[in-house]
Order: sequence, then C-alpha cells, then structure tokens
Amino acid sequence: MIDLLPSAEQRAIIDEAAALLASARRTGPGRELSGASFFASDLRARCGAQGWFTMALPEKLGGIGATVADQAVVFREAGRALGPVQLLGAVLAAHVAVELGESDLAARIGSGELSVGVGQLTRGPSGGMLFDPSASWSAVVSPAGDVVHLVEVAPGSVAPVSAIDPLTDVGRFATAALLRDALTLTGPVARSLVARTLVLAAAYQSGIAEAVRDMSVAYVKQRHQFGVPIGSFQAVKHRCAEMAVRAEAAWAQTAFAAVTAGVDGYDTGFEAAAAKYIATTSAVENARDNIQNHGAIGYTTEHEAHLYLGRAHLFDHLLGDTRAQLASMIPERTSTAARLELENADD
Amino acid sequence: MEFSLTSDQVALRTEIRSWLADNVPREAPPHEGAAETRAFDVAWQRRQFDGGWAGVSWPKEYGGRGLGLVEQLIWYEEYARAGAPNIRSCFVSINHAGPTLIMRGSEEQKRKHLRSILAGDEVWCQGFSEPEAGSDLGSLRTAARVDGDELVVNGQKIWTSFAHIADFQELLVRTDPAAPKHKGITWAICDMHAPGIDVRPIRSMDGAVDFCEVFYDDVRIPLDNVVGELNDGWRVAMTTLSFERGTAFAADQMAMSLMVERLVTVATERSLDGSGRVAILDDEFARRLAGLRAEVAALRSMTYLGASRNRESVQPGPEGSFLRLGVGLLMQRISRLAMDLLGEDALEWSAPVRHHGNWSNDYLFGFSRTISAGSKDIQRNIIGERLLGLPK
Repeated sequence: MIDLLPSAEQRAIIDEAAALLASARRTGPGRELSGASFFASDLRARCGAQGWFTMALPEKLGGIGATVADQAVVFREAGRALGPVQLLGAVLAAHVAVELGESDLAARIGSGELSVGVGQLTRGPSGGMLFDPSASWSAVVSPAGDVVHLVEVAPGSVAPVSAIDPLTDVGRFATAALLRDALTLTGPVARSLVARTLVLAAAYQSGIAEAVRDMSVAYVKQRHQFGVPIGSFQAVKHRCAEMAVRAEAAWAQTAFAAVTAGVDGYDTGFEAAAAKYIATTSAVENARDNIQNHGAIGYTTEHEAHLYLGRAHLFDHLLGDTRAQLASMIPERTSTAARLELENADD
Repeated sequence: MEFSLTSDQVALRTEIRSWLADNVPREAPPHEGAAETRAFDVAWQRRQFDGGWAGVSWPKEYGGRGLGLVEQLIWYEEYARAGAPNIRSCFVSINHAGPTLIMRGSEEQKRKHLRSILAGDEVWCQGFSEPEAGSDLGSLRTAARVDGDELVVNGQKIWTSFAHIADFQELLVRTDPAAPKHKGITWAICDMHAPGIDVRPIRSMDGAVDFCEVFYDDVRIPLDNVVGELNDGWRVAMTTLSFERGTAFAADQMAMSLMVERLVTVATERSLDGSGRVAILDDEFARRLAGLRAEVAALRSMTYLGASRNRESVQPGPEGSFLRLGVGLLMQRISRLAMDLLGEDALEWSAPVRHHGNWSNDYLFGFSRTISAGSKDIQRNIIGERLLGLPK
C-alpha cells in the first residue's frame, strides 16, 4: 500500500496536537514577545504526558512503538504553531539517552520534567550555537551529523546572544567548556537518529510553510485595494500559488522520508537531507513572501509574520544547514577529489 | 501514511523490468519524416500491446490490465528507467483521448476506439487551441452547425501536434454561438481523413516538425461522434486536461532522475576549462546538482502524494497542476544546468558532442513544458483559484 495521506489515527494525533498547542499558546494584543511567555509554562509537561518525545520508542523503553510518520505529523503541527525548539531537543535527547542505556534520564526527559535545548557544532571544532540555553540539558550535534552529545548545561558555559527569532533564546558556547561531561553517541546509531530527527525538523519547516501560506491566503481574500480583494491580482495570486507549490513539495518529501525511514531499499540519509533542504527552502521563501503579501503591517512586530521568518531561519541551522545538507547529497564531490588526489600521487 | 509494495507489486516490477529489457527498441526514433515517425511510434505501441503492457490501469474489457494507479506508476518508472522511447505521437490517444472516452464516451465509442488506441492502430491528435484561443480556451471560434445527423465544421486549429499523421482528433467546436462561452462547446471525434481538412506543419525551435495548423472547410462529423452531450464539451475537455495535468507525466519523474544522474557523471569527468579541474569540484555546480537531486526526489514524492489523493477518484483533481507546473519548471532547470556545464560545447547542436547526450535539444524542447497543456501562468491561476479559493 502506498499512501502518503494521514491515516484515521494520524488525523486524530494531528487534531490532538493542534488543540494542545492552540490552548497553550498565548496570543492577542499586548503579548510579550519572548520565549518564556509565548506558550503556557506547562506546555512541555503536557506534550510529555501525550508521549510526543518518546512515542517512536519501543514499548519496553517507554514508548508506544509509533512510526516516524506519526511523530512527523506532530512536528508539522508544532511548526504551524511555532512550538519551542525544546520539543525537538526532547525527542533527540530521549533517544540518545535510551541508546546509551540512561533509562532514568530518558524517562525524565520523555515526561517533560527536564528541558532540553538543541546545540549545533559549527564547522570549526571549537564552538557552536545553542538554541535555548535556558534549558537544563542540551543535545549537541556534530557538523557532519554523525555524533550527538547529551550534556547538562553548566552555568556560565554559554554566552547569550540576541537573535533574529525573538521567541528563542540563543547562546554561543565553547566546545571544551560545554561538553566536558557529555554523554556521547556515535556511529551508525547516531547517524540514523540524526536522520530521523532531520525528518522531524523538516516536518516542522513544512508546518511553517503551510501556516504562512494559509495566513497569506486568508489575508489577500479580505484585504481590498482598488476596490477589489488583492488576491484577485495575478501578481499576488501567483505568489500565493508558488507558496502552495512549495508547501506541497516540502510536506510530500517529508512524508516520503518519514514512511521510508529505515526501510530496505531506501536511502534514509538522502531522503531526510532532501526533506530538510526542500522544507527549509520552502519555509524561508514562504515566510518571506508572506511578509510581502501583508504589506506594511507584515513588516511590524505587531504582526506574527516576522516570527515565522526568524524561526524558519533558525531551524535551517539545526542539525546541519542548507550548505551541509546539499554537501551530503553529492558525495561524488568528495569521492572524485579523493580519486584525483590518488591519481596525482601516482604520477 | 504507509509505503510498502505488495508482493504482487514487487513481482510486477520484476516482470516489467525483464519484459522491457527484452523489448525496448534498440534503434533511436527517427528525427525527420512523418511516415517514419508514425511507423516507429505505432510499432512500439503495438509491441507493448502484444506484451500486455499497453494499458496497465485501463479496464480489461478494452484490452487493459485493470490494475491500479500504483501499478501504473511502477510501469512508468520502469519504462523511463529502461530508456524506452518517448511516447510522442501516441501521447494524445493514450493519455488524453483514451481516458476521456473511458470516463465520458458512449459504449459504442469505447468499443470502436479503446482497443485500437492501445494496439497502436489509431493515432490521435488534439484540436483545442486556436489562433485567438490559447490560454483563453473557452473563447474558441471554430464553428459547427448541426445538419441532420451530422456536424458541419468550419474554422481553424493550431499547435496540433502530429495532425499530419493522426487518424482521429479530439476536436472542440462551438455549437451554440448564442450561449455563454463555456456552455456552447462540443467535444467531438473528428476523422482526420475526412474531406475538407487541410493540415500545414510548423517547425518548432528544437527542429521538430510535430506542430501543425489544421483548417476545416465544411468537414462533416456524425453526431454519434460527439463525446458527452452536445454543448457540454467544456466539461469533457476539463476531464481531458485533468489527465494531462495529473498522471500523464509520471514517467517524467524517473526520466528527470536519470538526467540528473547523467549530469553528475558528466560533472565528475568533464573539466570546466583548460585547467583540468573537473566540474564537480566547483562549489556552484556541486550545489546545483545536489539541489536538483533533492528537487527530483520531492517531485517523485509529490507524485505519490497526488496518487494517494486520487486513489478513490477516477479523475485527477486540480492538484494535478502542482505536478504539471513542477515537472515543467524542473525539466527546464535541469537542462539549463546542462547548458552551463557543457560550456561552449552546448552551442553545438545538431552534431553529437562528447559528454553531450542531447542536452541542447532538451534545453530547447524544455520551453514547451511550461506552455503546453495550460501555460505555467494558467497552472498558477488554477492553483490560486481552485485550490486556494482566491477570487477570479
């Protein structure tokens, strides 16, 4: 059976996730634009209680044996609602802890008791960026996506920076200081875990691409200029159509990567990288077009449009940015360079 | 959401692959000559029919296999993987006329044409566009008046591929000039050998002579050849186009994947300039190739998502425009990269150049991919209006 549409159970998961996020999200005029107040403080615990972080683990390890696709539909909703980075951090960290036999730690992360940010080592070995350093723990991914460190964030090991995404705390860290007592997962297990998490990040970006598409479509139907809705102008209509095409491509590739993850005959690493790349491009381009479609109001902080833009860019840098994903999809470059070096050495 | 082939589907793939390995013509299709083109295309169609592969998802009673959309996709994927010839002059009969007759034709029309179409005994062409009715198809003016039990047609069609070798045409004519423009149109089967038809070929920029103008001077068509009801042709035509925008391009996914892989190979061998540094070591080419790989993968996934949506409905929905638009634009980006990769060799066109499949030709042909079957602007209108609900 080939079916990329959500099953009845998955539709129930989607509805539940959307309702949970909507009820926890604080919207309305005068809201404080900060990560701490955008969602209710018990969001993480409520998501943990729903099993969002551990659902894909086998039952004996605290999960319910759900598929990557089940988890991806949750993260699509998270993207639509701009759910915090910690949601992704908790999934990654719970899986790392389980793989390393730290079942008590895994359970505390899975329940939402402990908060986990996501760190990304930049290409140099000495440091990187941590998304949500206020979290007590952090899951830090290597540039090549083949090593994941799980570490309790020591006070003073991260220098806060103010960021393009006002809802997410960001900090820079020095590798040596942050990872001193890290638990480290390597090898094929780490690689496969990162690939599966990439699919979730792609699902999140798909959610952003869809949310801003819907926001634009609703707005251009009701905003009138020259006596007609601006959505009747071909220039605007076609921009919305392109947003729809990008959102379709993002979710289609994400869904394909999700349902074929770990299946014989499919290259999960490639499919996940393609999903992250396509979904990120879609999220960023759609967020940009959404600001344009809204005109001046879209350029203000009174409107949510800029929040989606900042978050889409931030997620680009989680688990390897666009450059890194592209590089991973063309291994021939490295192999050709190696071959030529050998040939030259022979000469 | 799930993705698994049944054991029957896996076996089918193996069977298809081995049949294609034994049966795909080894000689290249002829580039010139109407008779040669027709002979080649129908012989290949006939061979597929004799092998039982001509209509994988067509009903059994008309010579098809009666299988589902997934099986049809498997066929297309293997077809392209095997490097089987482009369907060319059989495209309209197999991908338009056949599916339209299956959905809207009378029992007699189905019996008369469907098996012959699959067997390659009939070549069809499309008579939709006119000099003054391109994107605004509904304004077509070729007129037909009812005379006894016949339609009498006068007017002109244009951009009719393979009119000069076709036996039949899916012809849109205005039968009620007083009605609102979409209400007075009729979809009829026109015999291309009927008296009063004059066909004039047009050469396109890729050198092919597929396009034609067709002139009608008191051409008589039996009323029995009307598909659907008189004056209900617009609805029938939308059925036809939904097939062209839906499933008909499935083979293109695999073809594009093969094109990109060929380009990767070219880039690992070909030096960019006199320096001897191969193209793939260049940042720009490496990234563009990787990006195209991802885009081809995404389009394949969109095909599966579209097929998932269409599982329950016989006729593809407006989401087909995602694929029609996506395939056209991606084809163009792939051949554009080829042009850049080949450097000045890309200027050489008729003579084959080393590392140069037929890239310049693909590049030139690529322009048609966002014009035919509704230009890219029309596809974006469809997405905007019918999927997003934006005002006209």
